[in-house]
Amino acid sequence: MGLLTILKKMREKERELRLLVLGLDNAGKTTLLKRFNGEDVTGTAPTLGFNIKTLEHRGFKLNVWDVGGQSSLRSYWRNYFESTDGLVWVVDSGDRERLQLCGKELRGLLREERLAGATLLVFANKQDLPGALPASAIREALELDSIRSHHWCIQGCSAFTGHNLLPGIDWLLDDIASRVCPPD
Amino acid sequence: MPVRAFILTSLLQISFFSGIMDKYQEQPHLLDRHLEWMMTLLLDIVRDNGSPPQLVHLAFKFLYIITKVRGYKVFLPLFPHEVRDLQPVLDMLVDQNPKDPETWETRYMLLLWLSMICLIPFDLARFDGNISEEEHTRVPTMDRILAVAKCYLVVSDKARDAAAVLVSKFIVRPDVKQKRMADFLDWTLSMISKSSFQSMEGTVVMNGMLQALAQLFKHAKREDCLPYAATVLECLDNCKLSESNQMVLRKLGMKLVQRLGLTFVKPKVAKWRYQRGCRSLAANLQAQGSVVQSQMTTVAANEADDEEEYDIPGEIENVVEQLLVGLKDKDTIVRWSAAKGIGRITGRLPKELADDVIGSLLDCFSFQETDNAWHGGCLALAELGRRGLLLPSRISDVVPVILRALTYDEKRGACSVGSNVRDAACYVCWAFARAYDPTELIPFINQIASALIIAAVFDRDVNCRRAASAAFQENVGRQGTFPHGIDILTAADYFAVGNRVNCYLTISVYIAGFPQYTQPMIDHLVNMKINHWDSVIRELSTKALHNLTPRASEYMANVVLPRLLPLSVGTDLHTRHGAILACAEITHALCKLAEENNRSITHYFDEKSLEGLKQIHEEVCIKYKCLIPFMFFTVSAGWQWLINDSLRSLTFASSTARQHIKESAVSALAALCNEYYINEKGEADSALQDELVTMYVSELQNTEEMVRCGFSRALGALPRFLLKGRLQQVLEGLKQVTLISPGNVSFAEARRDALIAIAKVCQTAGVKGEGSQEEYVCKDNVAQIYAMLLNGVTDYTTDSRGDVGGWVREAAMRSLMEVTLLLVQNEAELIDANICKQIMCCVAQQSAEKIDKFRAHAGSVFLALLHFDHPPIPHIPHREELERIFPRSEKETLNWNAASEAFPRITQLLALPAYQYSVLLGLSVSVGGLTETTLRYSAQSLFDYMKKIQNDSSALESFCETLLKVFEDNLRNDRVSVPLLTMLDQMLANGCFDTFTMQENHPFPVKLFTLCKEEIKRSKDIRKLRSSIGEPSTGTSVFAFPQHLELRFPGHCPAQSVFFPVFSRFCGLIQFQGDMREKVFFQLFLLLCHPFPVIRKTTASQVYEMLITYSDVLDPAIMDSVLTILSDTNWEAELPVVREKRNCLCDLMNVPKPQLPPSPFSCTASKGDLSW
Repeated sequence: MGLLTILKKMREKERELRLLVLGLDNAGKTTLLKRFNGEDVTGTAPTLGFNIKTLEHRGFKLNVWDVGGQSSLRSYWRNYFESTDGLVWVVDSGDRERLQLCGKELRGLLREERLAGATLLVFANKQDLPGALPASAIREALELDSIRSHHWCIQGCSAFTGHNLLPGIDWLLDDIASRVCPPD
Repeated sequence: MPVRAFILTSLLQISFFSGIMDKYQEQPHLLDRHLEWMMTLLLDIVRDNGSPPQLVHLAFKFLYIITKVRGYKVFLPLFPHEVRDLQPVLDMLVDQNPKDPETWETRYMLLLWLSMICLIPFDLARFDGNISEEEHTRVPTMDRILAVAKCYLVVSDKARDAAAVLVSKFIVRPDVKQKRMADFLDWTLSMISKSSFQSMEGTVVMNGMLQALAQLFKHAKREDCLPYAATVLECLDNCKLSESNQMVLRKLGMKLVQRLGLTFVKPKVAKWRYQRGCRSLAANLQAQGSVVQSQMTTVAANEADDEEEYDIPGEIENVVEQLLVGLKDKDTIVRWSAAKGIGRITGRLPKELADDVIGSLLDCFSFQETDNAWHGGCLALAELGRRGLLLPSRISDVVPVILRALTYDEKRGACSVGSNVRDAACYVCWAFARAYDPTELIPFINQIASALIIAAVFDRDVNCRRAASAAFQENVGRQGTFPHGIDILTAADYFAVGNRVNCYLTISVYIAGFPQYTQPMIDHLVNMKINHWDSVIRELSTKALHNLTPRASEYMANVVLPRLLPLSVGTDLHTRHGAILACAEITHALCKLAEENNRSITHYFDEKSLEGLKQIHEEVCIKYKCLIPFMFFTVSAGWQWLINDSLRSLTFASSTARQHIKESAVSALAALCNEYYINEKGEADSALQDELVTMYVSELQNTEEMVRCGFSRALGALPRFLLKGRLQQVLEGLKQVTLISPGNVSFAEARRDALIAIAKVCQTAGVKGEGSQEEYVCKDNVAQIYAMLLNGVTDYTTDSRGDVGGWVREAAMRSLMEVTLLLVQNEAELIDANICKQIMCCVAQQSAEKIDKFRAHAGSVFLALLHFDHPPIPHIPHREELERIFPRSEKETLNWNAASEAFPRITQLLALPAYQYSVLLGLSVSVGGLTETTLRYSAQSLFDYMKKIQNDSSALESFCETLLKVFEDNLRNDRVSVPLLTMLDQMLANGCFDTFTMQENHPFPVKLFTLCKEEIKRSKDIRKLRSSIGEPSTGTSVFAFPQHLELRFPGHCPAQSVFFPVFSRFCGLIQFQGDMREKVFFQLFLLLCHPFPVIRKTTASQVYEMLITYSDVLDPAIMDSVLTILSDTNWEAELPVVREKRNCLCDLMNVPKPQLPPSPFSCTASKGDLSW
């Protein structure tokens, strides 16, 4: 295996990213995924298990893993952490009651060794619904500004309408692509 | 569908499908968009309960073919992984027979599928219902999966790999980990300690266990593994895998040990991961994206240096030690694994420890270490560099090592190793470009840039040149500090560096135009390349030095040349060769420069250099295969000696170099003579001339063929003033070379060169009919010259190399043409009718012969002579008819090489009395030859001609007369007589002589018979014999016979003795009326008692067939009895038995019984005499 082979492999690898979509149940993770994939988003049922979708975006091949958010499934999340380039944390901006729990779960994730170095994108979802908190409020509630371990960004959006999804994902891709050091 | 038909069609389908898939092997990602539907289609078959098992297996085979091309990792996520899939897949897997060699793909795919389903985030206990209450015997799902995984971890097929994948996903599940992980690890460790890599089974088991452990420690959470890591490491140490000669086991060991190492230490995120060596392009793009960014808030991670202090376990030292040893492993994949491990682990170590690793790593680069260690070391450095783990303070230690690795080339016997080291060194440079901030690399940038350029342009191997070019590009792009980076990159890109000659001779010159690269490039060539083991590289680099000289003429003259001069008389042959060539090339280039600038050559050469150059001449000896570029030096002294010596030493040179040396020496001789041996009056110094010519002529009789060659050609190159007054002496000397004597039969090359030289001498001397024969080609010596050349055309020497006489004939024909054209342009009257006829006839004969190349050459000579117009050659026989047969308009288009075009033309010459004999002589070799196409077209053309003259009795008579004469002249000359007999056979079979069969006792068959008899007399060549009895029409089938015979009687009948045409002749002759028949029968009956059983048998069957064909030759009353004896007798039986039967035949047919001749002719097969 010479340098040219390495380069060829690396070029393929660099174009292939693994994204993990997590969040509490009913945050809209599967809807987000379906919207990305151009599928019908109405009538999405709670995810029992997990979905994997492969998407092409800006020349990247995105392997997106969406795992159910019910509390019983959360202990299984870490089975999916391996070689994750980007973590997409989806928040139900209208679910004020569980914002604290939401923040706690996120903190837990960020302490995971295997997610160290991954880029974090927070989607403040369901902005299309009345009563949704703005992204800035979510940012405050989740205490994002105290995160030092990860590159992060918060983006208000609506998975249902598709609003603002692309800018968020584009930021995520840019951030991952601008790294020069490979994660292990 | 019946089972067999199903198997057949499925085999076809598999090969068809894998044929399609294999096309994707190079770029498998192109398959990605098709994976899903293919998978769905195939899994539908699998999941359909109605599918017969064979179909299911077939579907899995197809799935396997896809994973083989794309890799299972990409494939895995596509498997359905819902809760409802678990039970059916598990059931299916349990139903498989783990040992069936036909269906391993099914097991492999099912295990992979199960590994995916294992990811479902539910407790497996939920699938078991309330087992404990209902049935005690039911096994929990968790244990069923584990049992399957364990079962397949110890098989020897590919299912084992999938089982390891399954284990890694399954054991790490929270529920399984809690209940089964410890047990499972215990099991694997006990399996490992029970097996040995010395045995086949042990290897298989260890492979499975190591794979499982490596996968497990890779995928599991670090904290979960930590408690077991020390135990596993200890067990692994006890295995001593590094002593195994199983490469796979060593690689797996290397993988596992690094995974264990990674378990002991916490991961660290590289803090600079977004910053180093950023492409400026990327920065620009980020600026454009700022619009979006303003809407979002990004907070960069805190990059403060907060290195956490914690204890590094002692095991790490052990792990790193093992990895360092692994870097020197003899197999590349093991070194690779070790290098990656070093990179990963060092990334987690605190600064000081990491630096220790780098310190030990640098030990790989010593001259005691093998190329393996250098390669492994480079790979590790590259991995570290890529991760930015080499502290800037270390760069100064590492760069010199890398620079050396970039030119690493260690001699091993006749070639060298190290291209992998150089490639890996390029990888290091590439990695540095990515990882380091430009300011850190600035102090080294010039060195690195030069070294990469040199590798990109001057490396011997294309992959290294390309790798260097890629590394250069990365540096230009990321560092932006390489001098003239973009310009150079454009000239030396990936594609441009593919062509080595172009690299050396063109690209290098362009790059050397940038001053900072000129000197390093020249130095590299002088230090590393002109002494390279590959002579092509040595020669290319000296040519490159020639081309680079104008870029640095002063440096070349003042520094390089003085450095080269002592090398050119050193002891190392490669260095010496390269240095001499380099001196020559540089000197040549400097001379040209001086000329262009109107400067004296001494402008560049000082006294010392000139002295050195002279010394080279004196020292250099051709025996060392050093090719002296004679023309480059124009300073005399010792030249004559040198040329003479080269010519004398030709024998020692390799055959390829020989021709080259000869040509250069001869051309140098001409130049030398013209330069130095001529006085003001244009004459030669007579003493010198005498010495030179006498010595050269005497060398013509040297016992070494190559010396004769060399001096023949040298004489041919002598200028006119040296030949003057010596022409006869020279020609006489050359004549002796052209003669074949018993001692020098195989000296074909010498004869060839002498014939070439004769023409050259004639051309140099010039023509003057009334002139002296010591000075000119004149009426006194023209006959003698032609005699030599014509004699050359009859050279049919063959030896182990084949028809070596062909070279002589080819040269003789060319010289004939050259001399004739020379004469006709000067004094045409010197060509008399007789000579011209001889020339044309012998060339015509050659134009009808069997070897395409020589026939084509002869044809072109023939046409050149015929069509020459300034003035036309006089006395060409039948010129008008020839012009008709070979019109000028077709001169260019007629392809003599092709038998289909040549023979229809040349056979037309049979009608021209002057050419009839020669053409028939040539033709018989072709018609009776062995090459299918030659035979077919020549025979066809001959028969066409025969048909034409069938009713022209005078033409036919004359043809037959010529034919008999050819036969008679070539009796016992196997080269002609054997194919001639075959030709006669075919002519008889084609009814060419039917007219004669009507006449009783026609002289032609009688004469033919006598000649045949004469030909086979006391002959032991079986092919000839067989052919003489053979039925004409079976001629072709008999061709296969000699080999057959050869197998049965090795030694008795040498393969080259090809006899059989005579045989057929007899049978063919039966059709003639009169005494002939009885004589033929008599001869055939003789052969029925030939000492070779196989000849007896063949004779019998041939006679049998002949009697059936020409049934009128026998009285119908005895026909049956004769045929019965012929067919029922075992002709391979003992001679007395056979003889009795034969005598019965004689009685029946009234043919006199052959009598045993008195001794000494009593038959002995070994002598090969025919026993009558």
